[in-house]
Amino acid sequence: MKKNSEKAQPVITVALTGNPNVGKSTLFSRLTGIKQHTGNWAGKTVDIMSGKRLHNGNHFLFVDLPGTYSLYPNSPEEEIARDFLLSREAERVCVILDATNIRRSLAFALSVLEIRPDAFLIINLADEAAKKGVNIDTKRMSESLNCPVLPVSARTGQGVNEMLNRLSESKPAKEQSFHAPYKPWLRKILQAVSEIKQIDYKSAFLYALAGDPDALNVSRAFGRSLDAVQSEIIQTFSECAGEIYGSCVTKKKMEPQAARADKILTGKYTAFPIMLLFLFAILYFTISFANLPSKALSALFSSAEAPLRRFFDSVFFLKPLAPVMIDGVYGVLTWVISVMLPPMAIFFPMFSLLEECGFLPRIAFNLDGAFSKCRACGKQGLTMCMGLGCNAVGITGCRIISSPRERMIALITNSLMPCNGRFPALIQISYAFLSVSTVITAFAVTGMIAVSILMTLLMSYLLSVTLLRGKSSFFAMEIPPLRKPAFFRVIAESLVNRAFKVLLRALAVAAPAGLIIWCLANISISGTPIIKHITDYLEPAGLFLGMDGAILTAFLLSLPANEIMLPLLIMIYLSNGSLTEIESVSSLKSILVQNGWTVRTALCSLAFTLMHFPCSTSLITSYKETKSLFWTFITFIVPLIPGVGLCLLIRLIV
Amino acid sequence: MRPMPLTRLSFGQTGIIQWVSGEEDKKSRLMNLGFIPGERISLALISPLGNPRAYRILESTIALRSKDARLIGISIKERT
Ligand SMILES: Nc1nc2c(ncn2[C@@H]2O[C@H](COP(=O)(O)OP(=O)(O)OP(=O)(O)O)[C@@H](O)[C@H]2O)c(=O)[nH]1
Ligand SMILES: [Mg+2]
Repeated sequence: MKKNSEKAQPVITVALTGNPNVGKSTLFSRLTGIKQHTGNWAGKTVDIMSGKRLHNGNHFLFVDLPGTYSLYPNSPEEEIARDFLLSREAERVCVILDATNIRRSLAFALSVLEIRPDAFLIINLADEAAKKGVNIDTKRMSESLNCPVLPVSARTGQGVNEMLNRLSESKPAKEQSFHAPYKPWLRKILQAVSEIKQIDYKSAFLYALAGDPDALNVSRAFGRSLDAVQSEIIQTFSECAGEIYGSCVTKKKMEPQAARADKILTGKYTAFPIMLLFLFAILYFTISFANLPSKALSALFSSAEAPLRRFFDSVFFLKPLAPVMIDGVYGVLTWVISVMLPPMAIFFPMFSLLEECGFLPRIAFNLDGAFSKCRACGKQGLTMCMGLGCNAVGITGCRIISSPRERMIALITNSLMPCNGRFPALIQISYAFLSVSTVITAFAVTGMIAVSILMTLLMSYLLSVTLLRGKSSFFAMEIPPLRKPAFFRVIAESLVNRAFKVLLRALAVAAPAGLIIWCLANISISGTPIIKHITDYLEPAGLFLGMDGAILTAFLLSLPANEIMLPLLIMIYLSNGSLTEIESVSSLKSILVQNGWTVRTALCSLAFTLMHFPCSTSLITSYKETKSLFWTFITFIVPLIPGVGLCLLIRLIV
Repeated sequence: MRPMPLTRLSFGQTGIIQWVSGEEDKKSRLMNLGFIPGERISLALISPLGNPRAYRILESTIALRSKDARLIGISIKERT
């Protein structure tokens, strides 16, 4: 059915382009209903995403492109965006502009208009512009550029219907509307380039910007350097944008130079304490609010166990499966849900709120000095923050770093940041052994993350002087204004988009892992269960690292997902002796202590949880990003080195 | 007044960009971000370690390391 109607009505592809952080993804979500990740920082979207929308019988396919500052690509993402615009695949082009910061986005919009005269200018953040007293005369702008100019607010949805109506209208006439007012000498050069290249005069400037050899020769022949040509092109668009800005935009009041909040967030004596305080607060809330629901969930699951067992026993063909399904699969599955879900449901929304505020670029700004000394890029601070949520996401996010060397460093060291899946183990082990109070546990985990940050810096430096030799390169990062997030929407989307997704992935791994570990524990070879053979085999290595064979086995088996390390470990311990089942953290401690855990074991396990090999999802992602087995192997090995080192150090001291 | 590197700009001053230099694509990158001769610029933030610094240009705030900020020459606008 659906296919037929689509055939009858051709799909109109609409590209959404524009500077970074102008709200393209927010608008995309509003248009298509697909929840694209958004954040108040430049470079949030690194992939192309598309989604459909039916409006008045028209089928639209909207394509959300990564933000770019120019049509001259400085990074692979910008190249993707430009190529898509140039290809005729995009039947309509919408340039999204930020109404509160329209001056620069206008210059980009003009350069798009030069190659795509049929482009629409969509002026987003109309709600915020109104609040700030910015008034944009869209009618006048539309007349002077001879193209549709539409104000919208992606957040409130205002103007979106009008935008769809206009996009539905018959295709605008292809006549040239906007002509870049180049100086005569530049026009001659571009004309010559277009003749040599046999291309449209209008797109000749792209070749000049990209430093094409023909453009270089032509420029020389006209007695100009390519550099001068490029600058003149950029300047032409910028000046033209300035004129339009002057005639169409009025501002009631001058913006304050930099908000006082920013001075505190980046202040010499305040910046780092505040960052640590935020981290502590997030962890404290996560730990203290997750505790009760965790207990409730685990009580619920254990009370459901008896009926479940009876059910299995009552159905004759299920009866033999009862132990493996209940002790194995059900046990691990419910542990992961009750231990993972509450902290994730608290951590992710808080993190998303900070991201939407615009706190992340400030962290990167504060940390860049240190990264610069380690010959890496400050934007690595952003990817580390993403890594706190999920390392695989952090690894993909490394695309925002334009220098290939620095990007590789950020990618390799990303797993040094403990992801959300490792928090429960860090929290529970600290809680059981180091303290009994939430505050101290939060302090301890904050300290561990600080260790992670220091190790990331150290490993980045070591990589910079060995495998990835080089000096730090160009660094320029936009710091967006602090913005009040759409509180409830952010929380809801974060729960669905992030927390739920990560949980599902963990569960998909937990079920088969529970099955396998049960089989290993219950199938014997020459009188001893297989699991015992494995743990015995790993015992010397485990002891060497201040842990034991069972812990190491659990780490190895949790390669697919860090979340399952602790439940697997407990199952291994339980299978060795006959112990009661675990209900709370205090019984967790007693199980661990009965299996020979001391403070030293706990510390070493914490260190190893913090820094060991990345999970398989991260490894697959890093292979996708680097397309090299060698670098994937390095990604595997690099976090392991400080982890092992720290374990040995703890063994020496404690 | 003689042009000076952007790194010498201090809080409260307004500069006018005089020139932008830089090898390879650095210059065009800076220009695409809005660092264009003739534009007004001011210092917005200094990071806790002193480097990078963030500048206010074309209504937005952009952080640059001093190494890159030196590629930009400015003159100080006399206050009226
Ligand atoms: N007040 C307000 N905020 C908005 C609006 N549209 C987007 N935002 C906010 O602007 C920020 C950037 O939005 P994104 O959609 O991630 O921007 P983007 O253009 O996709 O950014 P990149 O992917 O980095 O290129 C987010 O914090 C949004 O919540 C709007 O209409 N009004
Ligand atoms: Mg986006």
